[in-house]
Amino acid sequence: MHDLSCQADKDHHQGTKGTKNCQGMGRCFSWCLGALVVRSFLFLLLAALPLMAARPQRVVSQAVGTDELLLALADPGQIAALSHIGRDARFSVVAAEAKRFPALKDSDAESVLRFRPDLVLAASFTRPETLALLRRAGVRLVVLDRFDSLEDVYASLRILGHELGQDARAEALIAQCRARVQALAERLRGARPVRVLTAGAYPFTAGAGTTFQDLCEHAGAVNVAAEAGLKGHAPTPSEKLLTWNAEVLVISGDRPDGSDARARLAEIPHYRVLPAFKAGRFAVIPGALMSSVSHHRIDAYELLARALHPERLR
Amino acid sequence: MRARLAIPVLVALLVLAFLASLAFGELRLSFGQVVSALLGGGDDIARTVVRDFRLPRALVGMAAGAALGASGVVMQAFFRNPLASPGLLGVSSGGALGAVAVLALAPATGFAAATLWALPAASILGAFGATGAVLMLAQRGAGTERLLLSGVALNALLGAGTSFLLTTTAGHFEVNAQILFWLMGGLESRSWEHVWMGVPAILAACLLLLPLGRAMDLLSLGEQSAQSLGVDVRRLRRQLIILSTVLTALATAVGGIIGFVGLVVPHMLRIAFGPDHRRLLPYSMLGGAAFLLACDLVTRTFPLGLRLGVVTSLIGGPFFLWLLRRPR
Repeated sequence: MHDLSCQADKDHHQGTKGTKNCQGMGRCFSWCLGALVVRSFLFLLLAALPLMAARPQRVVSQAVGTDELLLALADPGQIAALSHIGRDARFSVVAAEAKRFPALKDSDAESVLRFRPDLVLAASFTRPETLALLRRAGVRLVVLDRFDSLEDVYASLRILGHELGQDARAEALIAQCRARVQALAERLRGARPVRVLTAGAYPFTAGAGTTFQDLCEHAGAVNVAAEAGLKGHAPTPSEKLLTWNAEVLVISGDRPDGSDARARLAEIPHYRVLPAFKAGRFAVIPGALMSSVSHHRIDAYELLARALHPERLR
Repeated sequence: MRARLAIPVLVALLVLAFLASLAFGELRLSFGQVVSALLGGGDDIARTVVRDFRLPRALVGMAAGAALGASGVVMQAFFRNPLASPGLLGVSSGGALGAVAVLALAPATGFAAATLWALPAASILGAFGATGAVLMLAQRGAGTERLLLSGVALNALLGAGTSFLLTTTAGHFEVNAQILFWLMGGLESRSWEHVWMGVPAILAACLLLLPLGRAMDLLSLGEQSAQSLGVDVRRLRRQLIILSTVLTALATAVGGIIGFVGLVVPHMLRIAFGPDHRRLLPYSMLGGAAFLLACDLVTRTFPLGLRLGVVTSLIGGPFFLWLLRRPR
């Protein structure tokens, strides 16, 4: 059930990392050349040298979302440490890759500073007191705080690419992402949207303005919770759920076949009486992918689209 | 005179609360629809809502309320202290810690099958542990201060255990949410499994408790007097503490920590109908059931998703303070 094209993409990406690295530096240099072409040669050298030196070499990422972005853009040598849950496959799409780098012991300021970072990446949900401590320590801090849509992700990729001195790599990744999303949209054009609901033992469901809503919009699905007027993550109703007519339950668990998630749902009366549950109509999205806020969420789009519209995507 | 009215009034209140529990919910159903759904007619949705959601929820609520009410009466008689109750003494916290331990360990042991019966069993075990600790910390006839301070210490200790488990499961946010459920009490998502798990056992414990009312009256005169009047005090005390602990644990197993019911209900009924245990026991069972259903109705109709344990505490907390300040 694994996403083949996505796997291929990743392999490709990893395989070319070394060469791309040199390209990136070269491109950066030629951009400088272009911009400063009228200035004197000496001046050019003086301007370019600090630019090269300013490329951070000890980057610490503090959250899973920023881990996923950083791994996609940085040279391996630029990464000093990743977040403490970035290597946990339950939360991180890039767990295997992240294990090759040191991990923070905790998310607090001290375990970040221990790595003597020259750039720290944090997310909007990082504790404010931690951010204050890092700022006071004089470390360059970039807080990526918008993850709601793909455009937000692209904006974050651009910011991060610029910070890392990897602008070209960021643009290439964004273009690749846009192409995948567009290809998916074309396959799904005219398909009847399937009525879906996120279901789990967690007593909240995702309505409008959530990453799940974003997922539905890209995967040929209607989020029945949003349709019923739920905003954000709201308590799952029990009786009203019966009137929402969800055709497929979107579940995520630690096991790839979703058997653990299904067993949990079977204990909850308002899920097990639903026709979709009785008929076994589930779409399984791995937990880490479901909650991914990086460009990896496109994997989830493709996975859900394939589960809901198998006739359009094999 | 007043006592003669007690049973009819309490039964009427309970029936009213029970019918209201079936009639009100997220979906607007007419009374006719509810009745026909109960009898197996009507459309599928109404039938599912009434028979699989509202009916088990009301039955579990009634049983848990009766158990907590009765358990409160027994603890007050046992400790001969009006401020004793399962929540304040830490027995509920013990039951919750047991339940939480099962939930926290369940992901490792296989989730679904393990929890259904392991959970009430662990809850009873935890409650007995807490009861044992209370008995050791505050011997019989202990003063209010000693009893309550023991309860404070025990609640803190057990609460720390629960918090620890809560942090170790932080990664499993679904497990985490279930644990929070136990800590705040609630009757949503109750199903027929919970009815079978809790109601027959609670009913049995209540029936075993009822004949002990007279002996409890004699015990309230003091142990020596009770003994000289032919009560086997040791045996009675053993029966009382076992039954009240089982009742509290079962209520906790099906509804989480629901505070203050065991304190508020017996006291209100004592003020209204007098302290005679033969009467107070059945009254507290009926009154506890009606009170808990009424509180559950508040949580269902209140828009912000108020939890059951929060509602009972909002009523019980001020009541407790009033009791504490009342001249005796």
